[in-house]
Amino acid sequence: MSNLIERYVYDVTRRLPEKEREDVKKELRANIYDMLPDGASDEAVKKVLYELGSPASLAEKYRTHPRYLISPAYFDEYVRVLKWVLPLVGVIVMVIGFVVGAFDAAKESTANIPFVMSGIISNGVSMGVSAAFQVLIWTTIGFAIADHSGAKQPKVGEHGWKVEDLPEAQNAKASIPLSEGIAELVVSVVFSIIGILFCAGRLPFMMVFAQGDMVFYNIFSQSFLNMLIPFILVSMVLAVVQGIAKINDRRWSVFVCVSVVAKSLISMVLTIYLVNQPNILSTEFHSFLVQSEVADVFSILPHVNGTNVLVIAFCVLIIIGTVSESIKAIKNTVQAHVK
Amino acid sequence: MPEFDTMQNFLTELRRGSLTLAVLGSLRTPRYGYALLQTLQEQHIDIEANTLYPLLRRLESQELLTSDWDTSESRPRKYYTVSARGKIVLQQLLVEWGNMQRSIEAICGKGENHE
Repeated sequence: MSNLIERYVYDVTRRLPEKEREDVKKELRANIYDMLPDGASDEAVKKVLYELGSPASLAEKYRTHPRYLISPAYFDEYVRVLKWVLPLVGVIVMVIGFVVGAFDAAKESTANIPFVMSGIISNGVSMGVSAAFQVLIWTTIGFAIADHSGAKQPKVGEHGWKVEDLPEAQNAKASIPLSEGIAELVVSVVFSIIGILFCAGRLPFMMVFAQGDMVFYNIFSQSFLNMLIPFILVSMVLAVVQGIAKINDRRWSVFVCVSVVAKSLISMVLTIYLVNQPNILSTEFHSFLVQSEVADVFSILPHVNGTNVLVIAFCVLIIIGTVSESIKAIKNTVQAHVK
Repeated sequence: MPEFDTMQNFLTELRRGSLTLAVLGSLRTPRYGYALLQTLQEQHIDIEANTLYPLLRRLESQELLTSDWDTSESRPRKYYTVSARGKIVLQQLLVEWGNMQRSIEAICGKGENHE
């Protein structure tokens, strides 16, 4: 009988802070023995233990402060973000994984269909699952930080807070939902990581059917991909700063506005610089384009100062997008600050 | 009539604060955990062991109770007594308790719920 009691007491106290453990153990053991007659049967012991409730619930009652990673105040929003970001990223990455798996498997033996299929499926599922875990981890970390930084805001003034510090309530447009910042943060980190893996040569990308045979080409030259990695890292850092700004301020503050505008302008410059690089395409893919006469169509297009008109059009589109995003951010911020 | 669970929640909330009063009041004489539990239950205070024991510990850490291990018997027992500070707190709480009862009765009408 004492064995059951010892096990119960141990299971309760192992969930408590170490300095309280010995005390509670002694107390609880004494209390349980008091509730039992001398030489009580196992049945009687069980009855008393069930009366005390599960070890987890009793330990919870002994704990003075409830412990949360994410407090109930934020939990609903946390679940809401996970509900759509998790399946979205999971499915997109899984599809990417299927394609990659198809390459890897087919490269080795084009004839063996079951082998190809299993390669495709295992690659897709494993990439999808690991991306989903990434999302889960980063979202949780994001919320936990937001929650704890919110809880530990320094006290100001006589009452611990000031009426003057209350945000303006006049327009709902001024506020940014917490979910938006966290979703952006998570999506940009996950896709940046995938992008870096891709550039590091882990993911080949292009499939061409030529005369019934599958031929594989890497679209981009390795030198271009190597150059791309620091660019992706820079964009990721900018996106993370923007996400943190949104999570922290949760309204169109000057800090959020600056982070959004800086991110889009810098990304624009980087992208325009990148598309104007020579030797973007791999030699094998380039020679394939020349063979298949696609390159002819491309070279027929007019050039301005030696730059292909397609590239120029692409750059113009990016500039328009960036400018409109920046204007929108500035407009939102101005609206939020004007009464 | 609200459903059973809701009613139970109201009762738990209503009792939570008054349990402290009952415990501090009963411990004007030293008692150990299980004896206190029995005393309270005899007085029809609805409290369970898994609520009382953590509560005793909390009150002790707030220095409203003092405790002593009695090791003279075959099994050691921890006896709790209300401290000087606990007595002051109890006194203040009882005054507040009386005020609150009068206010509630004034608002709801005395004994109207029996009709």
